[in-house]
Amino acid sequence: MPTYEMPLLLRTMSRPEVVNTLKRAAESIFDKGGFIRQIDNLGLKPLPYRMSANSRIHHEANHFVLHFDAPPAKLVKIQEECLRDVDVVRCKIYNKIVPEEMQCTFHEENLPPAYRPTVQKMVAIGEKAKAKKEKRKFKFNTGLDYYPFQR
Amino acid sequence: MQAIRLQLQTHNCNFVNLTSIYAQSIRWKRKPIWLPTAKTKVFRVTQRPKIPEEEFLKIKNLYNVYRTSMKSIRLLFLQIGEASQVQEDKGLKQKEMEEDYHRCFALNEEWNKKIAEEREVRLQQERKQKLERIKNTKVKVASKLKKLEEEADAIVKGAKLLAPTFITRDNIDEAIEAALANKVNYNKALNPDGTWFIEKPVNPNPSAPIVDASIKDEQKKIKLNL
Repeated sequence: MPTYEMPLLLRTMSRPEVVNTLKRAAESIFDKGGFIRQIDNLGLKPLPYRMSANSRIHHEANHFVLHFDAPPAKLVKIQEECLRDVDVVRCKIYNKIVPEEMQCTFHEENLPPAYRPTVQKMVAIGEKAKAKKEKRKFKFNTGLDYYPFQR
Repeated sequence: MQAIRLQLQTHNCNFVNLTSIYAQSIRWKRKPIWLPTAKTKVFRVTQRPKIPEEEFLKIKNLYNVYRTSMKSIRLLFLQIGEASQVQEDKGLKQKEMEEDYHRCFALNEEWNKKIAEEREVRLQQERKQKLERIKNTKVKVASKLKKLEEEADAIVKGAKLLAPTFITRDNIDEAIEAALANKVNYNKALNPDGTWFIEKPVNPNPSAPIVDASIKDEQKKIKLNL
């Protein structure tokens, strides 16, 4: 089962109600044969714009992110159930992006341009293109490195 | 006349190659050929050419020689033609053709045999190369599968290690409580020394991320009383 992220925006309400709403969302995941890896609470935050959900206008919401695994075929169902919840302002499921393992190349970037590997790579590409162009250029075969006649 | 002259000027004679200096057009002399003799020349009688006796005899002799030699040459050609017709023998020709065919057939057979030998050698070599290629591919595929299997195993191992930390129906309550207790902030930055810079909250002491309805009600009551 692949891992997904579900940001959940819940309306401002009392703590037990928040717990209940989160439980309902979690329950819908467990019902579909999934499990939760982590629950992140980002706190009560103002919304970027006025949002209307369930016949109400919201200016701030409790932000949560659920990291969960579930069968891909059930995702639509899970989201549908969460959206049907009256306390949920917004909800969407995204694929979890696993960051690639990268090596720090900061010391390389600090080198002068001629020694920088990225620049050297670019120079190599340019030389290759130049050689290709030179190959196609007409050669007089005079044995001279200049054109002997007036142009 | 006017029309004729005009034609003369405008006509291009390229199709009969009259541009050559040796060519002379009969049509474009001074007078077209279809016009009758001029009235002043109708009764003019041309004088017969007078050839000297010696010259006449000489020409006659030369002409006789010419005719005789031409006749003999013609007869010789006729003889050659007849002789060649006699030599044409269908049976012989057929035999020759058959012989030629057999010779060609034998030569072709020889060539085929030679090429077949070469082909056999080439095919064997190709078969050998193909087998080697297949062998290499098999090894490559096996190593690739093994690598994939190892990767899958690593994923499973990692998942098994993480399994106790997964949130299920049994520990959902504690997990929710823990999440509500610990606020997470994604807005942070790292400097090369490894120090994290975490965003400071706008409200330094937020009463609670989740507003308790009972507290709000009490506050309202107090306000009303005041």
